[in-house]
Amino acid sequence: MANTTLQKLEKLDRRWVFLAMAIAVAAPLFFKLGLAPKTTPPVKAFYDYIEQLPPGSRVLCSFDYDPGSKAELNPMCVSVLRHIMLKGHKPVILTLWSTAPALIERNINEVCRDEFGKQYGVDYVYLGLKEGREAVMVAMGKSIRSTFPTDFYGTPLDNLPLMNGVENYSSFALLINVSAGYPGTKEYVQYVTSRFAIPMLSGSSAVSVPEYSAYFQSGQLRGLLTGITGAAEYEALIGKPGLAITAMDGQTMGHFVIIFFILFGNLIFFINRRSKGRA
Amino acid sequence: MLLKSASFALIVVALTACAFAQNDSAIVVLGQGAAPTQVLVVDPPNDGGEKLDVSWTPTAQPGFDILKYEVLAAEAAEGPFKVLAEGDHKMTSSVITSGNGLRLEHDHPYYVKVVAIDSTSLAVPDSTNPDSVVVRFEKRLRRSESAVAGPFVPRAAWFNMNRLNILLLVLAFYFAVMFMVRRAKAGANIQFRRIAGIDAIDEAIGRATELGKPVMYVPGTQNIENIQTIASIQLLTSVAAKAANYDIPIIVPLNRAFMVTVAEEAVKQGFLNAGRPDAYMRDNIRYLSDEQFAFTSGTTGIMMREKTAAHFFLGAFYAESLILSETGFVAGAIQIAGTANTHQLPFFVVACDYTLIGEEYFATSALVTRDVEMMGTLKATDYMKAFIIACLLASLVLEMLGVQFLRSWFQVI
Amino acid sequence: MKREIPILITLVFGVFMIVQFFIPHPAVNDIANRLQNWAIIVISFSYVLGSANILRINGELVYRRAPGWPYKLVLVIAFFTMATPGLILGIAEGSWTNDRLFTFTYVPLASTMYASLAFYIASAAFRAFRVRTWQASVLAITALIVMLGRIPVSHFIWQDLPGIVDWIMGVPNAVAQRGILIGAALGAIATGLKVILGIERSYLGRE
Repeated sequence: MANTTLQKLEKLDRRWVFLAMAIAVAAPLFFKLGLAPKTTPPVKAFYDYIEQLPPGSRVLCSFDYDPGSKAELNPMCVSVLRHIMLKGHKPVILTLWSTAPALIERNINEVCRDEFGKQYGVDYVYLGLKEGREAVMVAMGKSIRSTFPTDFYGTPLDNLPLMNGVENYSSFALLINVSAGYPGTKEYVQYVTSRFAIPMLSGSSAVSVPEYSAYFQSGQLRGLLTGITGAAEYEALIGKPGLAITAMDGQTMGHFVIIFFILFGNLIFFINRRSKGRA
Repeated sequence: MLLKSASFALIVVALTACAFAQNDSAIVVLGQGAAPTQVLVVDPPNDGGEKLDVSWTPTAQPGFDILKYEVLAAEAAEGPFKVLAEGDHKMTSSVITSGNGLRLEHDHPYYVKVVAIDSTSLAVPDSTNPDSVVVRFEKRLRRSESAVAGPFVPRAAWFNMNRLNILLLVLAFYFAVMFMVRRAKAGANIQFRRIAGIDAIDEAIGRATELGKPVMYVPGTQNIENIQTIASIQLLTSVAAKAANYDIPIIVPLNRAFMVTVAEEAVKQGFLNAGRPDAYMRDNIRYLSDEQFAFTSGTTGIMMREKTAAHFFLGAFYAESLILSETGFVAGAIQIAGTANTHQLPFFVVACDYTLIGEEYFATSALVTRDVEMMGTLKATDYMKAFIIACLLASLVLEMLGVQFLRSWFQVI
Repeated sequence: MKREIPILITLVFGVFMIVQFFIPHPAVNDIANRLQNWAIIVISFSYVLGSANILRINGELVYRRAPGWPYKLVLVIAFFTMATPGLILGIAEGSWTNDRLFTFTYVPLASTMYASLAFYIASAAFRAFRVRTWQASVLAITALIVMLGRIPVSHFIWQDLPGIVDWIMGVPNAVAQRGILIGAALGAIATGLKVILGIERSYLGRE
């Protein structure tokens, strides 16, 4: 009887796992734990690079994610814009993902216009979407003006003071890419950073961390934010706690659930194996 | 009296300087004070003639609190000069390119000057009483300009020597491929290790045949210009031919509109190769959506509704990999995955029966088709990898000995 | 000729794009930029092609009353529901299309699908991390360390835990990643070369 129960537990219906995960992730919405992560070196490097730029530096931001990855990457995008505004830099923002423009526009308006009261065209510019993936990345290396003749709202770039003198990547002190996949950080590293000699910072979804860590180690990325944990560390560094820090409670509980099930699964597995051995 | 005259003279000098200033609040001083000296302009090699390297020596005179430097260029010595670069007080060199309305092009002459901007206290008269000798001191920006240097003519290079290393590697790879393809065509015995995932292709299709259920083939979620997708299309033809041999349907859900024609042609070719063009069903090549998760839910829906018995996930995958493969696992299908997207490999490994990792995936099309040209290319890839491993080991030893030439040779610019 | 001409076009443009990488002179670079702009335009057309394909394939299935045709009908209706207001009312922030259709409908749907990964990861981990062999034990123990080390309370559990996680990610993980990346990159270069040289022709369709 006991053996049958154990065997059943070893092949536990995955819906129980789903239920446990749902409870673990949802519970912190009602009972806040207020967990803040410790800063890791890639996040510190990201923060430091923006800090050391002379105020007023032009920064090219490519925010490449979609509504699916909004929960993970939007807090990162907002924090990057906040940090840029806090330091008085001037972002020129674009996206290569077709479902991103509305998400990015909302963030820009919330942070640059409403929170910091900056003037569009003078302190920040939104170029919007250009389809073409790697071809767009390389084309911007020759001329941003011919790649984006107008901004997101249809205004010619010549009418935007911030775009005066902007020709290509060399007109920017830094490239920041927040990306959920293709096209994103990997393609910018492969096609842009070395070829056009522009320093780059990246924020990516957590699943890409193992791959992009290699780029950070080799210096091809000057800083790296990874998933919601990276965003939370960054929020703590810039002193503007936001959604990422709030989400850390849920993520921590989620990790504990997975750890519990790994241990539980192995415990049942060992007991079953021992009973089979005795039998 | 002396103080009064000196003050007056100071005011005159200051006002004259202000008259020459480029903006309301700055004073301009030419070739003196904080002005940089020895402005050196060099045409950098290996570029398209669209850059100039400018360096300068900061003033040797003490007492200047330099705030920043500006590098200006113009097409004529008399201007108009445009600011093409700026930087803080530590800056002593800069690379200038087109900008600010001035286009730097090859074979055109340009004139360059460098401006140091510092802050100074300036004595100004009391505006409320013009007769008064009392002055007050105001902080003003002072622009100290170097002498105009030039003309400099940037030249465009016909070869970027910094990329010689890449060219040599590309040529070496090309000749290795050509050599191995020739050897393969000449009948040389080219051996490769067995890859379990390839052997499993027949097993998976056989299983689907036993169950009388369709096979599903997902060629990744990227467009035809993606190298992984191209490799997948070759495999699709082979898998379609095997499915046609066993007379079972093959369903191909697609994430990109351009892929529809390509996939249709690949499957048709497979059915043709198997001698069963009549069994080809166009309805089974299904373009679902360009949107990642709409495609994912559409594909998992097909798995659950049509009970596909064998799944092939071969191509470039992202966040959809685990959802697809876990759903397939729950549906009880035999699953073979392959991708060069390393961050998705762990998900395929836990949920699929066989996973082709990185280069194994690219090798599969050659090993499945046994095409001699492809086998030759694959062998050349192996030799290239052996060469890179040898370079890495040599570099490791040389680094430990303090010799860095190999590492710097591999540096791509 | 059906295959020879495309192979010739691929060869000429492929070789040119490789060669232009080594020649910075504007005479060559300007042509390369023009070709890249063509690529941008062609890729942009994929949206038009995608819309046409959606309507052609699903419309045909609905017309023929093929199995599952009501689902196809829902898809076609959803397509027009999303596209028509966008074309008529615009997509500016605050517009009905942006707020109702994009922000309050599409964004939650897409986020839900992405979030479901958490459930799949939990069930896959429960099933996969069984320490049947010593290799599986190493994998499971490493996974536990990394998961514990990535949470905010990790340094309370053990002060050195975050450091150990950094080492795992920076040394064994990065080494393995680079190995796979180099191999995969070579495979990709070889496939690219096969396409340019016409050895790989499957993407062109039937012989």
